[in-house]
Amino acid sequence: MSDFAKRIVVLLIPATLALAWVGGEMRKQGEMGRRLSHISADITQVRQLDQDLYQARRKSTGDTLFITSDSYPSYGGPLTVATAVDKQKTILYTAILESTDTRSYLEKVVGFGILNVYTGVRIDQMPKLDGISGATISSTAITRGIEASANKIGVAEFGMPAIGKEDAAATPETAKLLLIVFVFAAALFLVYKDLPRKKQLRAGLLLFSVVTMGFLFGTLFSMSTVVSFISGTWLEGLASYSAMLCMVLAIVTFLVTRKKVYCTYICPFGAVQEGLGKITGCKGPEKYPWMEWISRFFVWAILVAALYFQTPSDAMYEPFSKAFNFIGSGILYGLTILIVIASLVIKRPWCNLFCPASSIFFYLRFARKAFAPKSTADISNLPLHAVFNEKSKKEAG
Amino acid sequence: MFPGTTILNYLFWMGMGMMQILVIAGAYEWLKHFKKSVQWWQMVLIYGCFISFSLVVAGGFTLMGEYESQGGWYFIGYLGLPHVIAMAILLKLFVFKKAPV
Repeated sequence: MSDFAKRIVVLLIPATLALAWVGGEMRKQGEMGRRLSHISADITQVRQLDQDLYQARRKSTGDTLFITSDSYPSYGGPLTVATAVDKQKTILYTAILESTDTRSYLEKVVGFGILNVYTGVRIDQMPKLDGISGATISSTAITRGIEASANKIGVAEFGMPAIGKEDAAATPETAKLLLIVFVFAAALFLVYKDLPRKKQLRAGLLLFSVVTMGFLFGTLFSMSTVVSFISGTWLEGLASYSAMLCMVLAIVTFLVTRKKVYCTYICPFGAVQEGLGKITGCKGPEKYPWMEWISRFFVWAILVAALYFQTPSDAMYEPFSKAFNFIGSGILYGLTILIVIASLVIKRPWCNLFCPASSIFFYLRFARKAFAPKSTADISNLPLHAVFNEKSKKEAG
Repeated sequence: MFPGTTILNYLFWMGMGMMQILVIAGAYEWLKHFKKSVQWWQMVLIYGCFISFSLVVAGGFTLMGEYESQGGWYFIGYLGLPHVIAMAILLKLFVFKKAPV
């Protein structure tokens, strides 16, 4: 393939993603009224009163209703909740209008009856709910969204005082972010330093990563994180930035070192597979180009679909959440079991055959090679620090 | 297992018992053929793990029979997986061990 063709391919991929995103934004326009009318079969004649305030009529009684919505940051981005209130200040309906969270996880939260708690409650006597244990972030986004939207109607229609938005994070974030930075720093230290027991230190770092980033905090980045990042939903707020930070650091370390530092030294799921492979001493699969191209095409297709439908969580097909936090669909459960068992037969089966991170790193490398100026010296394949060392040696010489 | 029948349950479990004899006898012959020296207590551990795994599968399908299909699958998955890993470790330690130099 010529350099020109390579550059065209490199540019076409972000162009298709941008087109999908624009298409998704256009699809969303004017949808709010239609969505509000679907909160209940009893709601009809929805018309907009103000920017975020709608009036509707109950089919059964003919009474007037006020409906509004509000968003709060959740796992994958903003979670939008709608609240319908009648003229007696009573909440009649609550519903989740939009969410980027994992569907099965959200179903679990709704299954606890969090939306029904507010039905029949007066907006001037709102109960104060804590989040649901084990689903703190999503449930907090829902309760805060309902409280804020009910207050919005109270202020606009009943002259109630406005209540300030609750912005405190639902779960502590500092420890997670510091941990991620520490793990990446330790990995870089291992990459650059020639240490006597490098293998053991790498195994120790992987084990530490499995316990902390895997089981304790669940901070692995996934396709959902990539979609959130590209679509910009993170700009509207995220309940947890740990996965985003992890993804950014993984890409930065790849660009700087030209090595998959995250995959080799940090990824907890990769570590679990490698550990299982050590039991049987199995080898990696024989890879053919078509296998890699199918995986790359699949990742591109998933990204396009997720950007068009604006659902980052639906892009997540990795078994990470199921393996470490027991969250995810039945299909993910089956996939997790298969990958874990396959790890006893093939070395790192997920990493070698299916992981979307490999496709993303391949694209970055491909793009760099397509656009990087051709060097006469044989330094094109060296990592960045080695290139600097080479240059400083020449200057000193 | 077979609701409404008089003898099929007994025949089924007798068949299962006979198959266990085949498993043990087959394993013994296989080890002899490949000249693997495995101590009796090591065999007990491996076979115990296999029996435990079989009970997990039976437990999972019992749950499914009680209309708890999801619970059944999760039972087999989350309890069966550690069994499979434990069996792999035991086989590596006792059967496919490195030959002494």
